[in-house]
Amino acid sequence: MSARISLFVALLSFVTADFGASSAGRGSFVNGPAHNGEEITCDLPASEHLRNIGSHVDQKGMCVLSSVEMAARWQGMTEWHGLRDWAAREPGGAWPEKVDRQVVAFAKQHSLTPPIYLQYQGRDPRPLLDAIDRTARMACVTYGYSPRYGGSIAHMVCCVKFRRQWAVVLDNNFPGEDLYEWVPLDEFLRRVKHPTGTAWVFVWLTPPPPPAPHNK
Amino acid sequence: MIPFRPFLISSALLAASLGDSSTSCPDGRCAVAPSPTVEWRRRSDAPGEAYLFIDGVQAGGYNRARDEWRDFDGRAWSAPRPLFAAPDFRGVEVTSASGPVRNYGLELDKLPTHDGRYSLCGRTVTRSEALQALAVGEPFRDDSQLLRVTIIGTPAQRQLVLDDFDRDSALRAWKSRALVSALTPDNPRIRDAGFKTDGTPTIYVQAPSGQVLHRQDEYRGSEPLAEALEIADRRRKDPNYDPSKDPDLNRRTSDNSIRVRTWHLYLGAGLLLALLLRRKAP
Repeated sequence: MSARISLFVALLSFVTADFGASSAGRGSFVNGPAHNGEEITCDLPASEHLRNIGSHVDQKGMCVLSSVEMAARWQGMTEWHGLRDWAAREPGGAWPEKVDRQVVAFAKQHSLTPPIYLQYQGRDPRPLLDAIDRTARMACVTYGYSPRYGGSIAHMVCCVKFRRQWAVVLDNNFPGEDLYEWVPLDEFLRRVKHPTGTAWVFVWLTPPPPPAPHNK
Repeated sequence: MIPFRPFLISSALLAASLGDSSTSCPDGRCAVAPSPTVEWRRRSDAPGEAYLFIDGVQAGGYNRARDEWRDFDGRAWSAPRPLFAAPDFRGVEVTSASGPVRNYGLELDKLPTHDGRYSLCGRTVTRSEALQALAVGEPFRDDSQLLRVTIIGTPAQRQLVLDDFDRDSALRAWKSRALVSALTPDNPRIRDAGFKTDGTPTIYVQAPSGQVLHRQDEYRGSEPLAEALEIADRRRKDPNYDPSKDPDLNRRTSDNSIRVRTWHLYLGAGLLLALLLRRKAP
């Protein structure tokens, strides 16, 4: 009997096995812009990546505007090149209302019309991140942990993919073509809300870049 | 990376201009090769930029605000790079309510916990206000399946078309049916993607996949463009099309092929288990 039951269980396991499932679903890892047939959504050239810096005034980090400017570069907003370095002339560190102020101030100083953007703070950023990826825009998100740092961090990064199995991070502390961090979706959502329990998401609502043209 | 490249270029040129004295200095007198002419030029419409010319040939340009240097080889500009390399930023160790945290630029005490807060351009909005402002059924407009209209040209050329999208009755309706962008020919998202950019303006209509459905190299007015959009919209692929639902009218009803589905396997496994257990029962 037990042998027959074992045979049945083995057959059932064979029937239900998903041979396409990834076995690397738990941890994050560093890779290029593609992995196992999946590619990142926002393939910003490495020449346009920004490395985080400290403010010229108080050396506090500029991760927020580093991320926000990279998102602007991705979405073709060339008039906003230099936003991060311009803001680095003020004390560093950022929060949503400070970003509001700096966007308006930069626009005024450079005679630009402030573009539309959306900010979200809350415990459920998933629907918004889904929509941002689906529309090929680049999300800027808080990020509270990564094995790269060995402990909790207070950081903002760009999310260049959020679909299927993976979220992919373009970290302004690790810019470069082969330095994207691939993170399972649920783990990414956990990191986005760590350590405060809520996420902060920024996205420009300007059109994403037009897809590369091709004939039928 | 070489810091302050223009200075080093000038220095290198100066050193080179001194020449090799071993063969060109008869009687101990060295012929000095003429020094190249190095000059920095500026443009009145780009006050924060300077362009290096060597013997009248442009070698590169520098943008002070962005600290970006680009080489120029006579045909194309290189990718920008900083002249002054910033040291790796290592963050600041802070103590938070949850313990020590290395901070790379967030003011944690100014990030209150919110159970879902949206703001549009700095104005806090309720979910319903966000829906009303965006005039769609979700807090974020899903434009992923809209036609893409890309206008490429000078500011005046682009604005002429954009104004018609705002004011002209033929095109105004397309603002909600298409995603309209107006970009310069040298925008990296245009230049590096292979778009044709020499129109006056160039107007592309693309499917979300990128397939070019229509292109014109001059603006012919709102009605011809609206007509092109209508035709392109009709011809493009239906995003909801599912080939598996295509009827095959030639498929015979007496077809003997069996399609094994997953539930067949579960049913078979269940029957097998029942049979095994039944044989065991006294």
